[in-house]
Amino acid sequence: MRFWLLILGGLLIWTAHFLGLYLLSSASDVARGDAGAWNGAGLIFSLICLMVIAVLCWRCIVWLREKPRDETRAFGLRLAVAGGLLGGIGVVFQTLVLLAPV
Amino acid sequence: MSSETGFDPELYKRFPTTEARPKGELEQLDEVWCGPRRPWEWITAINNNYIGVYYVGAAMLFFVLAGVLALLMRTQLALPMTGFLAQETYNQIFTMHGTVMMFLFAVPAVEALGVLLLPQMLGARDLPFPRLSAYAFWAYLVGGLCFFASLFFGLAPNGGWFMYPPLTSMTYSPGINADFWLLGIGFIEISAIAGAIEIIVGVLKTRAPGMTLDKLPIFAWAMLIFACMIIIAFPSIILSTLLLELERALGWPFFDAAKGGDPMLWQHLFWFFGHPEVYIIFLPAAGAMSTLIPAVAQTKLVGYRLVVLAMLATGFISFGVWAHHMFTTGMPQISINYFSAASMAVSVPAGVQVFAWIATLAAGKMRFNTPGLFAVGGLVIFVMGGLTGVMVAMVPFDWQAHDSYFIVAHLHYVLIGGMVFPLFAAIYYWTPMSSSRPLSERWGKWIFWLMFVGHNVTFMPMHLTGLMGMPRRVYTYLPDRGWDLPNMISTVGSFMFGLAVVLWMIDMIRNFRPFGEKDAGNVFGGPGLEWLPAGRYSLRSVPVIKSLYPVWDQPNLARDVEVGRYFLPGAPRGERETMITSPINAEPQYLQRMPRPSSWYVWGAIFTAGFFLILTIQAYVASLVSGVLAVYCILKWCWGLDRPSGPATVDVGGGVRLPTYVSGPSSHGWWAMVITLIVSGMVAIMACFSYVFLWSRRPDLWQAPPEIGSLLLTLGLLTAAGIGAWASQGALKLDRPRSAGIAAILMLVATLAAGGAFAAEASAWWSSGLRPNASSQGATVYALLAWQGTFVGISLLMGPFVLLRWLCGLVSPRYPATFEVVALFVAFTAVQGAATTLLIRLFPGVGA
Repeated sequence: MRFWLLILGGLLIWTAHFLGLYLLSSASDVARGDAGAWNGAGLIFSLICLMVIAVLCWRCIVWLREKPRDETRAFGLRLAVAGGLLGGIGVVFQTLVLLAPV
Repeated sequence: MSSETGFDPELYKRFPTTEARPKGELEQLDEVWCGPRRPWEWITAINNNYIGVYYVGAAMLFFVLAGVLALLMRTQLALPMTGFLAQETYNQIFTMHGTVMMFLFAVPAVEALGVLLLPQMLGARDLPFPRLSAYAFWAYLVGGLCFFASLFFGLAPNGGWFMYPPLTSMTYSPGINADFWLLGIGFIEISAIAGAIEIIVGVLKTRAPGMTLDKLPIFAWAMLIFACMIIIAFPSIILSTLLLELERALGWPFFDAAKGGDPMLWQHLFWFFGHPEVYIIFLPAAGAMSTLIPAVAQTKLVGYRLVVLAMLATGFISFGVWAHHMFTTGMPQISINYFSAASMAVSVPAGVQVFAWIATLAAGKMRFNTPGLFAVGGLVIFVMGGLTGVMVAMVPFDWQAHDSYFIVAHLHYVLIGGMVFPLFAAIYYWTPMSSSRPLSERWGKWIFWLMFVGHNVTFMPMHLTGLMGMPRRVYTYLPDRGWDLPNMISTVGSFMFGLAVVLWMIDMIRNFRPFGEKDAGNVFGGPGLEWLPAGRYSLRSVPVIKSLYPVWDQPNLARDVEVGRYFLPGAPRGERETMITSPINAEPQYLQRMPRPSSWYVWGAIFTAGFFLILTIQAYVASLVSGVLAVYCILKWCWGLDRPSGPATVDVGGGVRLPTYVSGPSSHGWWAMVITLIVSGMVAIMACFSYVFLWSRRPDLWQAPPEIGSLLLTLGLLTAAGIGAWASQGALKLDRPRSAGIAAILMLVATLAAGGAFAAEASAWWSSGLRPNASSQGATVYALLAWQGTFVGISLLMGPFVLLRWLCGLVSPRYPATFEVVALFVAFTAVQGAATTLLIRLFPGVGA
């Protein structure tokens, strides 16, 4: 299971980020509160997600440099790094929406 | 290589073996895996070589039938104000065209391809649940044909393939047409889920030794992701069809705005399934492209790792785009922007795959044979559809193009380029493997060009027709709008496409004739295991995999496999068997005993289909009888499971001994149950979403939940059920003289506790005065209760089933597999019950 979580880490974080933003925007719609405050919460959440992705990628790169014990693990680590980068791009892309004028 | 299971990878060095195989071993293997000998056995066959071909054949039959409907529509639209089809007939035909193409052709076709190809590709004798494949196929075929036949009685659904309420509510669609769709499709999706379970467990657990994840064929990766997507997406359509049918039949107002319902809920649920559905059918087709393009170009796939990642990313991101079909519904602007961003983001992984294919073609020597032509043609069409997809992902443009013929053009470019052309490429590429005879190259090229030109002549002008303002789903149009010429051109193109399909059918019939020479071999020089010499038992022996392209990279592989120098060269117990391996490193774990054909699953499928279809025509007694018979057949089928026989370990070649029985997470049955529970959990999650969503629409209609005392009783009983289920399997494992009896009784008590909890909760809500047809709260609360009640009902069947097995001496500490999966199910029922109960009792709070 840890192996799968590693491979899919970046994409899972993208998913959590997307759902989180969607929930925040839905909650904002229901609460009819200050949109700027909800956007701020979304931005903080996005930053946390980006940091988690960065840590995941960094950790995987370190493990890769330590010469993994077999090809399958190296394959998984490389996938994790690439998935983290792709997930990161997705998170940034979704976050841009929050930077639009309220 | 490090070990995942404790298996010593050094043992691989014993292969290929050098000693001669015993006399008669191959003959015994042939006999054990013999094909049908009597006419009835063609129906009860379960081997993937038969079921896979049936499945592909049935899917292509539905493709042809839906194609005929398309031609009827194009004939009607060729000229303005024609009376070729009546308005109502046209409505039924366009609904059936979309529905049959999406539900009865696209998903089953790619699932069928998986069932047909995966065992050979992975080096397995068969997929791990051949009876489940057969059940899924027969349920799909019987259900699909009956569903299609509704057209001949004027009873076919007529609300569009997405069946939006309120158009499909009882007020505006009072006949049973919509019910055919709701019950028929809901049922057919269950069949798709059964196939997905088979594929996930098959790819993860029945690979050839050494076929680690980095050596997994790209098609298998695609099928794995495809099946996982089905598990996540399809519960949503199952739930939405159930809710709409409950509203139509019993007046539970999920979508009726007057009682707090909201038609937008349908759109959310439908498109949470509907948009991933596009990628669900694209991914296997893309996997097929990534497999056959290297063979066509005779070089390795450029960027294997990135293509795997791109497929995984597509699987994830495609779930974040469902609302891009809803840009014009008045959703909050910021939500629309998120979905717009995700819709553009999903083109990134699709682009990675396209560039990998182009790079592979550029790196190798492209051969313009028929699979190659279809692959390149599909690539061109898909890219064009992808570009218009980016256009409609932009909200302002979508507002203009929504529900116009521009969207019809876009979706056909995506689906035909992304799925139909790759499927034809796959059929041309793999038919020599399946029928041992290649399709005609000369005909194939004619078919390709007719199809390619026909497609573009049909759909290219539709972009213009749409931009000129022609809406979708109109049965005719007035002259002098400027739509006449593009419509006429589209009709001519559609008949060109139709001609291509007719020629292909003739060639297929010619190919599958039961006489003539049949020795095609590896026609296209493919690199995968499926091109090794094989019989009905798949490969004679299961090789140790050392490369992603074993046929290209491992010298003498074909010869060594054919003479039995690898794993499992015979049938050590004289039965149908396949090797189960670990999910990451594919290390041998045990030898699975495979079932032999019987008729229970066929009858089970027929009666299951009967239950749903007869329900549509409101013959409730007949439907109930069919349902009871279906349950009986399935129980009869399950009764024969988990009957270990023979020695505890056997030699599978090279002196390697494997156990013949395992349970728990190592066993394939445990995995299947866990996946089934994920499906159920997804339905429950979507139902909870529906509950919260409907509350957010009309919180003023929500009433206070029942008093807290009844909640404690429900939770107490559910806790007892969960603990009882786990304790029962623990008691069995103690392996004491009375273990089996105590375990069976504990399980029975656990199921009764779950039943008690359900009764207590339902009674509490009924006493509180809430009624399901009074408000959206009542509807969702009772829907959640009904879902839980279904699980309790199944648990109450399982309890006596386990008890009966114990009484018949079939429960033993040494064979706990059945017991473990029943315990998993009952424990899940308890957890699901507790979660949904807490939601409906505590949210939105007392007296909201």
